[in-house]
Amino acid sequence: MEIDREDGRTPNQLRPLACSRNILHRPHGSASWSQGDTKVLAAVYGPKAGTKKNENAEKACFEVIWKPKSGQIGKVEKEYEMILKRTIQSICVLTVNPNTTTSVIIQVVHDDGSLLPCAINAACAALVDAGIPMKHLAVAICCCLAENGYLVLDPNKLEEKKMTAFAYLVFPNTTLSVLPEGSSVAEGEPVEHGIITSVTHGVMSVDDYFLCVENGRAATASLSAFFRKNFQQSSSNAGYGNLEGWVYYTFHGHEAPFIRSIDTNGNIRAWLFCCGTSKLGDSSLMQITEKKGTVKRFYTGQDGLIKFWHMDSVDLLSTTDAEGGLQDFPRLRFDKEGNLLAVSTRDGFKILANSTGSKLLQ
Amino acid sequence: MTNQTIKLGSGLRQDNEVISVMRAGKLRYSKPNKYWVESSHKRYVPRPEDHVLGIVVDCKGENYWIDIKGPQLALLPVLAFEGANRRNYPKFEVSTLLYTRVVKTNTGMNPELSCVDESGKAAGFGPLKDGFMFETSTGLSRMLLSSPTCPVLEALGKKLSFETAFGLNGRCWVHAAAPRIVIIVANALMNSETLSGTQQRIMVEKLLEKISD
Repeated sequence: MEIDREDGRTPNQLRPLACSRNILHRPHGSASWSQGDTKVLAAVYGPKAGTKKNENAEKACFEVIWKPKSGQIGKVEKEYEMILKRTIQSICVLTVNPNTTTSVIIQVVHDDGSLLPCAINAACAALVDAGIPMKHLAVAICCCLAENGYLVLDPNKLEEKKMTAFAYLVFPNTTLSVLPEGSSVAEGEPVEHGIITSVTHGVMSVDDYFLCVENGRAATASLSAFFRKNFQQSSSNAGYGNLEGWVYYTFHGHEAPFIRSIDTNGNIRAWLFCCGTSKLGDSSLMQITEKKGTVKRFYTGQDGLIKFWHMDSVDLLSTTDAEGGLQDFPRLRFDKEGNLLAVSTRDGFKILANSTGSKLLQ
Repeated sequence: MTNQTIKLGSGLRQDNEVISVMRAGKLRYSKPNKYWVESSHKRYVPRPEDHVLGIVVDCKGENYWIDIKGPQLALLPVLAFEGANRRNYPKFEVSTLLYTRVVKTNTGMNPELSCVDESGKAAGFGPLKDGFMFETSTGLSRMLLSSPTCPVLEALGKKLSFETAFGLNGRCWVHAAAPRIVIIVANALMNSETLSGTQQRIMVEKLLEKISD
């Protein structure tokens, strides 16, 4: 059952995700979440003392304010606020801070389809940033049904308009536990098999709805993994030995990436690598020490291979030809953490990844 | 890990048979049996025996209402000062900065503070006069209070003389003879959150170099 989507995605493929936390200065927690072009900012204030009039004083109270990109606040926004409030109430532990109010403010930056799921994900990330006690995260996804019965995940605005029906589904994220038997169980089934929120528009048959739920749940595994990785990266300290930055400048006509890193002893080490062609047409890689500016090592060769050396020794560690197709003088760039390496080929470029990097690419 | 009594600290909770995590952070363990999740946020969760910087919000009858950046306002009994009795007790205005310790926290009740230690002595608690107070995250204040002394404080202390008070609730107070020293110290502390020990020393050196020109 293949369907051609305009942006070339498969029916079950999500748009690229991006999340950053602690981006706003004043709120106690903030996050921005984007799926493709849809972007939402969430800010959390609290917990603050006191609850609203009709709320239970034995539990924590949540207040959601939805701010659309433009226009006045109307019924649609009120409905989104109510859905978000109910979803947040079911994922947070309400008994830890009784008689307090936590405010969640959602600001829509750009709407390109699947807005409510994006907002729920952003609110979840902001709540984590603020340290609000939660039972688990909520991962939200939009599934829609086309006229010919095909099921599509994470539609953009144009696709949404053409669909007969769509459903916003929110699931609890997958839990990691130390003991496998220890995963939280509610009524005999693991918590991941539950569903937190479901909002449907349009007409669809019961079977189609269950298919939506199944497909949506399968996709939440990758969303959960993305959440987890995002939080782990910011929790761990900046690692020693990571490549700190790239500065490019020309050195005698060559292009030079400059790598500065801090090794495990806390010393700053810097190397300057020049790669390119000299006037005579030899390709070479020169390593220049920081202080003296003298050439330390010279590596020549133009055989279309990528070579790896250990920093401290002159011996070649390994080579790879990356399954062929490399130019004679391929351009190389590492990503910030050194997990991915992009290399230019004859018709484009390839990305090489180590084990951490290959998880990034999924 | 069976048949052990363990103590759960902040960020962990017990749900019948299962222990689950409530916040994102690092799981820490201290012998013999304490586990907790360490994370850095802009708000504070009150715990007994923490030293915090509070701001007076109101005075009603027997208690001062103090804001400690937590979910509830805290209560400071008017008599919880050294040598205070019914006829003679300190009177503070609204927005006075106080260095206090948290005595007890029960869910649902406002936390209680005190400006005396267990033996009844003042021990440095009380109002902080002059100086400059700024807010940071709880992680940074923990780092500044850690022992051995944090590298940024050591490096600053070698060249400048100043007085500081740090509250575990993310409030820091700096006082020095000249305002420029207060500004230098405050900026250095605020910038040192994400830096490692060596990076902190380098940052302080560069800062002091610029100032001494």
